[in-house]
Amino acid sequence: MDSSSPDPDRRQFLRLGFQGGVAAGGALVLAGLSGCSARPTHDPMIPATTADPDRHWRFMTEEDRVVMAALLPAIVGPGMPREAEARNSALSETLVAMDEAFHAMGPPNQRQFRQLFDLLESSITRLTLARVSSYWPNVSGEQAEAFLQRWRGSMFNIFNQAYLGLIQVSNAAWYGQPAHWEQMGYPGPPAYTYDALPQMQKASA
Amino acid sequence: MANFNLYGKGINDGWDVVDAALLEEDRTLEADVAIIGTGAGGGTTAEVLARAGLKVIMVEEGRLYHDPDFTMDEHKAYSRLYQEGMTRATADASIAILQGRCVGGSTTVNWTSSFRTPEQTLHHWQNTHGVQDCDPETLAPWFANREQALNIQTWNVDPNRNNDILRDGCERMGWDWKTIPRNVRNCWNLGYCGMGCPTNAKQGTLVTSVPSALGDGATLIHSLRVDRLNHQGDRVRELRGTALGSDGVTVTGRRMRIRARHFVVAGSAIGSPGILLRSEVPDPYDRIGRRTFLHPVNATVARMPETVEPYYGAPQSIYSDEFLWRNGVTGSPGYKLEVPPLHPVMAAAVLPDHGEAMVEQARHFPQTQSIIALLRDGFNSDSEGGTVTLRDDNSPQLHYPISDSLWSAFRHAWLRMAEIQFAAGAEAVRPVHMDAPYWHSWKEAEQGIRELPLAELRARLFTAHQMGGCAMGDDPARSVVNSWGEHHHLSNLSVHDASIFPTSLGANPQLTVYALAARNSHRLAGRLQSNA
Ligand SMILES: Cc1cc2nc3c(=O)[nH]c(=O)nc-3n(C[C@H](O)[C@H](O)[C@H](O)COP(=O)(O)OP(=O)(O)OC[C@H]3O[C@@H](n4cnc5c(N)ncnc54)[C@H](O)[C@@H]3O)c2cc1C
Ligand code: SF4
Repeated sequence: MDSSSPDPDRRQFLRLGFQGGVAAGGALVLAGLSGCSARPTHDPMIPATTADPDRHWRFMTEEDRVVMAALLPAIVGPGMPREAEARNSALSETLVAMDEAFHAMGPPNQRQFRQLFDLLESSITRLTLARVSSYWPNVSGEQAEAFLQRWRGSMFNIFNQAYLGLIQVSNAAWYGQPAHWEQMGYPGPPAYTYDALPQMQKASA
Repeated sequence: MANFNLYGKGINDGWDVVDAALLEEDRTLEADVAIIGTGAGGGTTAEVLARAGLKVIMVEEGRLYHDPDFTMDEHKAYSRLYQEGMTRATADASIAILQGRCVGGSTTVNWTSSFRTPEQTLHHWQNTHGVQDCDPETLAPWFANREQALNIQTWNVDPNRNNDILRDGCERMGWDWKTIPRNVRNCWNLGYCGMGCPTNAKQGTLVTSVPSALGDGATLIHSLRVDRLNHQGDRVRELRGTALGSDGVTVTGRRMRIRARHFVVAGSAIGSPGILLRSEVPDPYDRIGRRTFLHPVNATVARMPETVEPYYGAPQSIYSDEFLWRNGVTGSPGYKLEVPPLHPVMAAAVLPDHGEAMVEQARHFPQTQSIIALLRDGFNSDSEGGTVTLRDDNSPQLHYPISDSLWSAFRHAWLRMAEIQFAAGAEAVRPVHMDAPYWHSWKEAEQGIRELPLAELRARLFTAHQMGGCAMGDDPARSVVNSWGEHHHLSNLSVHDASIFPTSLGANPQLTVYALAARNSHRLAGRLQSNA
């Protein structure tokens, strides 16, 4: 049908590679329990992990937040504030919006995102499938961008799908915040409705 | 003045509305008829049966949200009102599925376009799929009945610029365009139909049929997912449901059973086959879930010199059927051209980019216009649609392979949409495709589109119209229900929703669902009354 879709052998290879990766991640979790984790541990310098420490996160683990804190600046790009405090609060609000979105997806989609985060967080699959060489807390903007472009441009559907999953949830969480509407030149619901509609009076009160 | 807080007032007046999230113990209820789903099909059925004096219970998996909740907030709306928090997709993730999950079903979030079923489609059903009594003359009174009930009229307000560009472009190309009829009453022309209408202008089942049934003594139970129908011999005995918490996701542990003389399944395409598969109803020819159709949609976006503000104004008011029947009814698929509303989250989720590329598009958002093509799937021989199966957790999932004829129709549609946008003065046009840049002239675009890879996940596709999977027809070897939605094997089971279509339609489906549900419910009421 189309020359850019991988041939059956490569698909098969990829499927094995993916399952192998998830299995490797599982092995690492076990290693972690016995005290020799290869995963990064809590780093108090990462804004994502200090964000809203009392919040009851419904889906995202601390490690997921570390991964997204590394990727969000590349996903949001020039829209991300440069100044540290503004950046941290923008990041943490976006992570909260993402966590809510993950929760609302329900169990089947959550399972897929869980697999994806596991794959990104296990050192072996981070190195072999994501080809990101640093621990996430140390991943630079350039490394994050290169990773996103690799998965976006990959000839393997599964990486395209993972890329789209990551950026869609991120973009939706970012641009859905009224504070970021102006980055799209969107003025919000028509101004007069705030007076004319009872529910808008309540919402803005 | 709009009639605000419809449900608050109704409940004060004694409407029987049960929030299953609040159940403290398991319950068993009885009724004449239990209806599963409160969308176009279920809501209409409840209205007709309750008016006929039958004791009706409506069961809805989604929650009750109504005008006090509709604040034009995308995050809240998408996570509360749509299936899987608006992340439902086909099994290989190549087509995003927009589908409602709340009281009113997809009619609570739909874009109000209201078309009668095309005559070609009805004749095709009769001639090729063995559907009886579905010719345009027989159905005309049922369309008229619903058009009157839901105030369906051609939109006589000026289209917003987003729609106007489709009209301009078609006009310049010498192609067909027409104005869309909408199911609205005193519409404020705001443009937020997809987030729940904040003024109750939209005449979906949330503000029409469901309140009518409640006023006639029906019961509405929301936040209750129907897991299965227990059946014995040729009869369904009871339905079993699981209560979901106020987040719409978490299982509370409470369950309900409902016993009834008759059961109407109206969980729509994907949902209804899911219920029937879980229930293991007789299916000797393996038809349940087969031939599920989507009106698969591809899109182009244009950057216009002027301000478009695709977020304001009635979302759909102009359409073109220039290419709908381009190769005859059963030739390679034709498509209907329409326009989608765009708000920040919707746009950000549709455009497959990040970083600089996304910011560049965000900067031009107010000048962005978009056209969509809705492909007429299921009419030609290589378009067999998709198949619904159950995941390990018993939730339904759609496998939808994209056939070669659909791929070539997508390419055809990108070309024609880009041509329309350039004809209307676009500065640049881009197909919504991972490998497509913005092209600055029709010539460039034409060349570029011809070379775009036709591949899953490179092309960004979606559907807002799910149909089929419980096909109607008189031959049990080819269908699940007969021409009136009555199950071939279980005598007290009917299906009244978009899942009974044997093909897609070639027009937005809500009016077809309303009309068939109204007709089939009148027949059912007669049946139930005569053997009361
Ligand atoms: C964003 C959007 C825009 C649209 N725009 C238009 C338009 O402009 N014009 C048009 O004609 N059509 C439009 N549609 C499509 C149209 O609304 C649907 O085709 C129509 O509502 C289908 O009717 P239905 O009864 O089959 O299903 P729905 O209206 O979707 O109702 C099905 C209901 O069943 C419930 N349900 C499913 N499974 C279960 C279960 N196990 N237990 C309990 N409840 C269950 C669901 O939660 C849902 O509420 C649009 C749809 C969307 C999503
Ligand atoms: S345009 Fe606005 S007022 Fe009109 S039906 Fe849609 S949401 Fe309601």
